[in-house]
Amino acid sequence: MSNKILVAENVSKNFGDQTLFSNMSMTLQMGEIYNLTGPSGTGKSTFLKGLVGLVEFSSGVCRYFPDEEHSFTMPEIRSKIHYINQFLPSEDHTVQNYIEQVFDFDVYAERTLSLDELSAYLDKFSFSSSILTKKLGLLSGGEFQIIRFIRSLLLRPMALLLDESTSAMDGALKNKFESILLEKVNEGLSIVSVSHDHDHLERLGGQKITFHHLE
Amino acid sequence: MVISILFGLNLEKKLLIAKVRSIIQLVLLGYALLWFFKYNHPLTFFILTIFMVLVATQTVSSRVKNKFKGLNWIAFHSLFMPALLTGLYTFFFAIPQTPWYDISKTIPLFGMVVGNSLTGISLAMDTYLNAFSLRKNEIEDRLAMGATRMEAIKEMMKSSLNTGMTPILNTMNVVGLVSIPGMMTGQILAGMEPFLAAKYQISIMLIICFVIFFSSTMALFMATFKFFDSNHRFKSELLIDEQ
Repeated sequence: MSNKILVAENVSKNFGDQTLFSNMSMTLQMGEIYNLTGPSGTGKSTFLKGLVGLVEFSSGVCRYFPDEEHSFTMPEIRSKIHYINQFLPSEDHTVQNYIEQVFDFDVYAERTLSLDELSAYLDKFSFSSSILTKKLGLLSGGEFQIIRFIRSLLLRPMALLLDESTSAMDGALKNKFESILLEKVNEGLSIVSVSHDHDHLERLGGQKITFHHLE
Repeated sequence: MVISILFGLNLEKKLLIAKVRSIIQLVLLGYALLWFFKYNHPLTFFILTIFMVLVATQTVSSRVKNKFKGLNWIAFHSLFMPALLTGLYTFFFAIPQTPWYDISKTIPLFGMVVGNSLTGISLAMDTYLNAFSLRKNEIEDRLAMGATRMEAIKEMMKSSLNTGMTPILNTMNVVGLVSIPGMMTGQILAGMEPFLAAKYQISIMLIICFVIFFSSTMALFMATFKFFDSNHRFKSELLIDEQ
């Protein structure tokens, strides 16, 4: 595997004749951390979604693993670069169900869920394994965000695009989350993060990209 | 109506309008059919079928709560294509007509087929689009984790198709036990032998079941390709927010 994960070149997003952001560029390499900062409504989330094609950029291109010989399909790219949004799902699944169902996707055909690995992660966050049989709707916001993070890590992504993904965690959970995140970064995981939590961003470190309101 | 007035249900006006409307419409239909039967020609058949499908399209659009640009297009095609194919199959093979376009038989049959597809499509599409609007974040989350568009909406598509098929499946399960279908009742009253009437009813029922399945599936697939592009992106912005 090469070092370059994704290269965004001069990407812009307009809604009608309103420009949300224009000519943003970013090169994400293995083990790098980027923080997107700026006031609400300047397009940070949209930019993040656009990086994995969940939103179409109005102009500019995104290239993925540019040093690789062959090209990847969008689902393949998204299986390596996880976008993690800020919403709770409305579905009535148990935690275990919620984690298992992604393993059914074609892109993960060669992966199987390792229950040992799962319980090791649960231990790290001091969750009891009984949480697996709980309904998603009964989790607290912070617990759910951790579960989603664990689900992602089990699939061993190369990069995480985190969209306010610590917003509902309390201090203790957030500390554990950060230490595991940094541990993974040392192993080569890349992060692009959007957060309004300055202390959190400070502790993560990394490079800053600032979004502004455009006139 | 007396009951409605006595119990203050406020339905008497609606009931009166519905009664008057249905009487006028059916009388007009009788005259129109009589008139069209004189022009027994394939062209008459096609003009009438297109008219019926256009009216049905309007009805589907009005029954689906979450609208989007292109709903009419999808409704029209998923009503017309399955109905036409099923209709032609019926007129040539299942219940052969001579000539195949014999207006006095084909138009009532076609009407029955379109009417049933209409119900199926409305129910299926309404459920599907409702899921699009309520479970938007869930769809996005699945796509973000690497699901293809079909993987992301498989469950919703299944349950929408189920909803579309429920009325006909219920009907088929109790047919003959609880109710005698309208068409069969009519034929028996008109003096037809019950077994012959049953034979026709079986053909009709299977045809209707097939056409509902066919047209609902087609509508759901067309909506899927409308809302998801080949890069597996969900274009939720296509839903028109009516508040």
